[in-house]
Amino acid sequence: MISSQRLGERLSDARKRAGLTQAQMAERLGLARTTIVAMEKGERRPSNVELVKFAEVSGSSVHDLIRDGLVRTEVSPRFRIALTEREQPAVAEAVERLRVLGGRYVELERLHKLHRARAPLETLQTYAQDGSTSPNSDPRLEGEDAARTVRAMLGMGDEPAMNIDERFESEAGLRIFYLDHLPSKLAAFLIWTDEIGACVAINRAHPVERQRWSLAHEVGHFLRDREAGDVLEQDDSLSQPGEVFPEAFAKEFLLPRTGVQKRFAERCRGGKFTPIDLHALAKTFGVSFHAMALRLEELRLLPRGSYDKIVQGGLRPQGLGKSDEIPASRRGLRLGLPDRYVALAVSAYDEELLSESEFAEVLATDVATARVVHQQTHQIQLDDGTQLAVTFTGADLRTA
Amino acid sequence: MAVRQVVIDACCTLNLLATGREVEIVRALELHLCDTPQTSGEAMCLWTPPDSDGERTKESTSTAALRGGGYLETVPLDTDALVDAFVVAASRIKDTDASCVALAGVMGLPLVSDDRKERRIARDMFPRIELISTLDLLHQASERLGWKGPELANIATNLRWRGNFAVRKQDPLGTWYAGLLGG
Repeated sequence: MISSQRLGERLSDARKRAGLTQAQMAERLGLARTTIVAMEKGERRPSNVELVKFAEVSGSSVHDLIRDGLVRTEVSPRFRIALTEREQPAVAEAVERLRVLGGRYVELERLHKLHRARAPLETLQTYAQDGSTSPNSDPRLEGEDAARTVRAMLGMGDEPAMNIDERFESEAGLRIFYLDHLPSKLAAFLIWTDEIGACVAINRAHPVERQRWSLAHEVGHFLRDREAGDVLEQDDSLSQPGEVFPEAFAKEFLLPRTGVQKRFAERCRGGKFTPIDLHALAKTFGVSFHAMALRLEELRLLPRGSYDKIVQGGLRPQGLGKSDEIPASRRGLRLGLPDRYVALAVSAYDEELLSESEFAEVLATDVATARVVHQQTHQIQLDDGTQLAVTFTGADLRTA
Repeated sequence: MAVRQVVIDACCTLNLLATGREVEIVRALELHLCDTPQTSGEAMCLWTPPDSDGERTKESTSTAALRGGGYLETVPLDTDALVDAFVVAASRIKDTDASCVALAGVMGLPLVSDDRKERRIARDMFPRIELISTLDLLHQASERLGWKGPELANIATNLRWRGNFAVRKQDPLGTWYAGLLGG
């Protein structure tokens, strides 16, 4: 049984999330406000009937109020202030979804007795805004330098950046989720809490190239000012001072100067560089036609205004073929959850640490769909094409 | 024969709906199903079987036929004993599952559940509780209704594909079910 103090904290969190004052909660429960105050301070434990009623009124579950192991998370106050200024309830709702998913991720790790070690990029403080950076330094140059540093740390040289989700999950400790039903203008956002670290949400409705750019942009914020969090809107302007570093990081990370120059030269060997070559180059680097064209212009490999000329000439980038959709590893049922998160959930269900309905809730889906995920996760394809049903556990193979 | 009251959890309710013969099953077994306010509000989806291209889609379903026929009733947790048992169970398992465990345990009714964690908690809290599985219901109903051959195989296939049902480990009827699917 959790302590009265911890229960009180959770009651307080639940009430605040429901947007109720202590007086309003007291009225709905038929109690004195001072009783609610005492409950939230842990000085008076609610009766079971009061607890159930409290959960009902606050839209919380009794399970979340009283179970062991719940990860209590609070998004950075600086982030909340920024949200209030923006007055974006849709963003606030999405942030709440990401906060819950991040908390569940940590709970799944704890169920398996896994303790997350600090990832290599988490220790990189060189580019942190409140770190050693000089106030006079150029954030654009710093962003580019950070991208080169990160590429070097990840052993990527100047090759196109592939599988960036997996890389950033393992090397930066990011928890990356692809969320549905985000406002279309919202490209991505980053939240940071002490308990769960950095979580990134990417808009699943956006094209995959845009998603990659958004993720790289948020990694820029992760290096720069992760504790403040970030909301990236599609029309975010580079002129905003806080966006220069992450945008420069994203550009140099996804389109490294030397890598682009090398590939461009290869494409020019036939004597011409056509829009078809531009399209192919964009595909190679996993960025949009527009982003590729602007980068080539910026590097003076194409004359300024080339992109505008192409579009004015009637060649629509969309006409060159659809971009690839979500990478194969994420295709499946398209839940938008990290592969490791799903694997931890499946394993927890197999080990009876989760019930079937809890398993579905962790996957943020319905029971019938969760069953498909479970069955698919247990199928691995061997080299000869045969399907093998396997059971994964959290056992440490090194000591098996 | 008197109608027998049983508590059914949300996952087993979904399984019954997946068979497409839920009313016949419940009627044949002369059951009166009980769920709780915590489970009755759960949105339920089934999947279509694969089409010729192997594609499947999700479709919503409901308990309307069961409720309309008077075979399923939502029972509130409205006594101190029920609430107390619910809170104890909810400290270990999600509210939907906990409410079914509490209702069955306190009322002394059988619990229809396939879930291993839920069954374990139910047994911990109420050692004498009777536990029934989806396959128990299907097997008994098939015997009473004389379902066999392609008809029974079709019901099992519906359960497999529409409900994505996978048999619980160590279910004594697992081999019987696999046989219906041709496995």
